[in-house]
Amino acid sequence: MAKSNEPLFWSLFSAGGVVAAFFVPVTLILTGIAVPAGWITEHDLLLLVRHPLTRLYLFVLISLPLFHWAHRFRYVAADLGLKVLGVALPIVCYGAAILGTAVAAYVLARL
Amino acid sequence: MPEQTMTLEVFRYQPDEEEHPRYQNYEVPYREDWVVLDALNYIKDEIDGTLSYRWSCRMGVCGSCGMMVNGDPKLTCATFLRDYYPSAIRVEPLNYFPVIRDLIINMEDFLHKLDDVQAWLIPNQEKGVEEGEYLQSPAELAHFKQFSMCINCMLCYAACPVYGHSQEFLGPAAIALAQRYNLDSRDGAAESRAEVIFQDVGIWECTFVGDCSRVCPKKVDPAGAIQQAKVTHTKQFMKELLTPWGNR
Amino acid sequence: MPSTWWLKRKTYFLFMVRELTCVAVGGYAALLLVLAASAHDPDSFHSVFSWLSASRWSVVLHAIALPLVLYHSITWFNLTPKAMVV
Repeated sequence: MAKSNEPLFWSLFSAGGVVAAFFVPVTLILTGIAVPAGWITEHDLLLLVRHPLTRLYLFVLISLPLFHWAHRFRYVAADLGLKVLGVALPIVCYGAAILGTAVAAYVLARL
Repeated sequence: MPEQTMTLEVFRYQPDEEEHPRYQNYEVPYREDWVVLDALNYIKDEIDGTLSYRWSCRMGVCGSCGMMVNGDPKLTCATFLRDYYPSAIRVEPLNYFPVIRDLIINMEDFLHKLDDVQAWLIPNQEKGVEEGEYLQSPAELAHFKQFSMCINCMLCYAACPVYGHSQEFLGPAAIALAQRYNLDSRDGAAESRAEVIFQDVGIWECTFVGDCSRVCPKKVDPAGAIQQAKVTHTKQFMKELLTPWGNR
Repeated sequence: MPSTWWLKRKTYFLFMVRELTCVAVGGYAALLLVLAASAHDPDSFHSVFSWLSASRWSVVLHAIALPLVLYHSITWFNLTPKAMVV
């Protein structure tokens, strides 16, 4: 009998869940409504994205929600019959989140 | 006035004699104050003495009359015919447990799990009678009181799709009871319970569907207990990860 | 258990919707990643911005994602207190 390593993934999942619950809806309104409605210009949005605080915000809002997705999707996919994939399923999910985090760190750091 | 009746479609199965289960329909009198268990007792006494099912207290305390009523796990002593009348009611044994006969399920698995989590009080320090009671404040009692209301009826297992997928899963009631003793100020065995409940097939298989808490006739909230245990394990895990020198 | 078990009961169905909100959350994180990557160069930022402001796909995807992420927020805040010892 061994204790689970799940707390590691679960805490990333939970942190992503909190961040997504607070910030994804407002950010989604920005890109999905404010931009098409013309409330913000291309120039202003670019300046905003390049601002150091926004870059930090984007890093958190990309990385943690990716881990949130990875953990939930891993279980929901198994529930929907993808259990046959076995260990490949969590590897692909968490791997995508790790990769996404690395890419986000790189692209945001070079701005 | 002719007596009003209603139909019960009852699951019948004798695994050692029949290959497949079948459903048998019984017409029972409809009474406003009757529960499903009253109707089953009427069938047993007046129509068909071969029907088998468990029951005892008929007042929601013993936890033995749990069955699927129209697909939902219920205590049949607390499920009124009037909530279904005039439609037929389908009565089946609890989901996911092997059937011994008709509506009687084999609860061995659950009993083993109660044993595995040591669902009883293991005091910090054994005291002699002359040393007096194990005192506890109302605030200490409040931490776990809700979980102590469990009557072991197993409705939560029959509602749990995770248990349905894999009977390895420790399941709602056993974890809620482990949490009940872990949170008890008089108890000192949380560490040895942790070996069982902090496994993958312990709390971590739970995806928090939450149906266990919905069907619980005693409002125990096993789903809440499991999430609490996840937080406890996570705190310990992080502490061990960040302070490896602190491990015994 | 058949893989359609979550269609059997309303509570199971709502659970499945709650879990599938993660696809909207993860997909949106991927969009933000594309946006962040494009900000390096004004031309590529222009094409992402034009897609956001004018593409029908952007409108449709945002319209699907918004109710899902709101459902995530509501269920998340409702369930979090359950994990606390009273």
